[in-house]
Amino acid sequence: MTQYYFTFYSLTQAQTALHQIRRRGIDAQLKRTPSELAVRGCGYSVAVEERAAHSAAAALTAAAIAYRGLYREMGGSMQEVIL
Amino acid sequence: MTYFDHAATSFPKPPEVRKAVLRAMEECGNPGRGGHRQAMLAAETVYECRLQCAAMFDCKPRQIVFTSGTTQGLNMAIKDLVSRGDAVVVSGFEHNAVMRPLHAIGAKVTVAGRKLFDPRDTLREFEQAIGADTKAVVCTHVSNVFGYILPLQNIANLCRKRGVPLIVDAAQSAGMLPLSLRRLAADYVALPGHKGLLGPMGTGVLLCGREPQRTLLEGGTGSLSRELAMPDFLPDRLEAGTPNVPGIAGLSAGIRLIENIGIRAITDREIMISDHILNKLEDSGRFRCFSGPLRSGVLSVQPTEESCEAAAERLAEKGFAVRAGLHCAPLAHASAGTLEKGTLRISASFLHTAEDAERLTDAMIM
Repeated sequence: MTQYYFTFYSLTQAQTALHQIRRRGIDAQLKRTPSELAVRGCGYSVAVEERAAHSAAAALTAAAIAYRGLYREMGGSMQEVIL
Repeated sequence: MTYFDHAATSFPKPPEVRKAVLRAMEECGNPGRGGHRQAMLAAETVYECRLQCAAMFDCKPRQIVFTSGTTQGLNMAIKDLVSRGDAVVVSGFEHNAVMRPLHAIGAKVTVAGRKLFDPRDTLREFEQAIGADTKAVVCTHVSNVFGYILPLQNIANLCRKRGVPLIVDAAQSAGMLPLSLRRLAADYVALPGHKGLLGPMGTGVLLCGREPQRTLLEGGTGSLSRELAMPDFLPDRLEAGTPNVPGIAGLSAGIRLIENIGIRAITDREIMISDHILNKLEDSGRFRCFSGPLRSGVLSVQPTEESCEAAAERLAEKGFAVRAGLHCAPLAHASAGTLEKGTLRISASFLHTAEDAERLTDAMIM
């Protein structure tokens, strides 16, 4: 299953994002940012399924929550995407 | 033992708080230090408390910094904003948690407003004391000795008008009086988790109305680990090291209780109990009582026939916990003229009954 990762430096910011996305009824998970994306060191991501990526991004925009990047997990590798 | 020392710490801690602490100790790992279940559960526990604090104090979760108590929060705030030789204005009722950091830094301190229960005088004094060179105002919301509720919103408005940063000591008001970071527009508000919020000792919160420049502690935050500099974002910038997860879990349970009861109901109850004690002690003619229209549930008195320490000892023998002395606030005593003798402080809780108050006053008068 393809997943999209919204990445954050701050755990609290990632949790705030998770909270906002879930409030919209979207299923999302808090995860450690995969090491290949965490170039400045540890961080956290909010992962959603592909079909929910646009709604999740809209929820974050509406709550004025900025994410560091958005990545699509495909076949074990991460690809940056812009929605 | 009937406990009337809630201004020092709430006691006993509610069963819900104790249970939450134990659960965290049994189930939680280190938040932000891994992706496993225990770390994630800890992260959820901490974030839940951040959300509760943000709702209670009208700010965003990222503006909530967990501390070990008000003293740590005040040190963080003061040491971010004040440097050696800086002019700082404080009220006449500050605790040593404010005065000692300012002294250690070598700040030039002006004391404004030393009249008890006179908010007009307090405000007028602040208006006169804040000058063009004032780098910060530090003000308690409620005197920990006398329960005097200072005109904090007016002082905050004045600071905003003059462009002076404001640091608030909310040690005696958090969980007992409404407190909004947004309305105050304060730079920092330091508060304890273990007093009005009913949490465990060793918990506190610093509400951050600004992005801090200087840090009191540096260390691991679970974020930007490759970099030597502390993260420049909140709350990570001020939360170095492993947080007190069991304490925060207990604080969360305490806040939930406060939310269910309601701050207004708590305030009304504490003042009712305190007024009951005040009236009986005044009628006895054997106590000098310090009171006025803007008083919280904290009451200070001086026995006329014995020392405060002797009275506290006598009451302890009869099963009542009250506190005698200077209460770590010599400035407040100097302002009220009680520095030599100190006071006997009785701090009520919303859990007290009129019967508790009656028994205490009977023991004090006899």
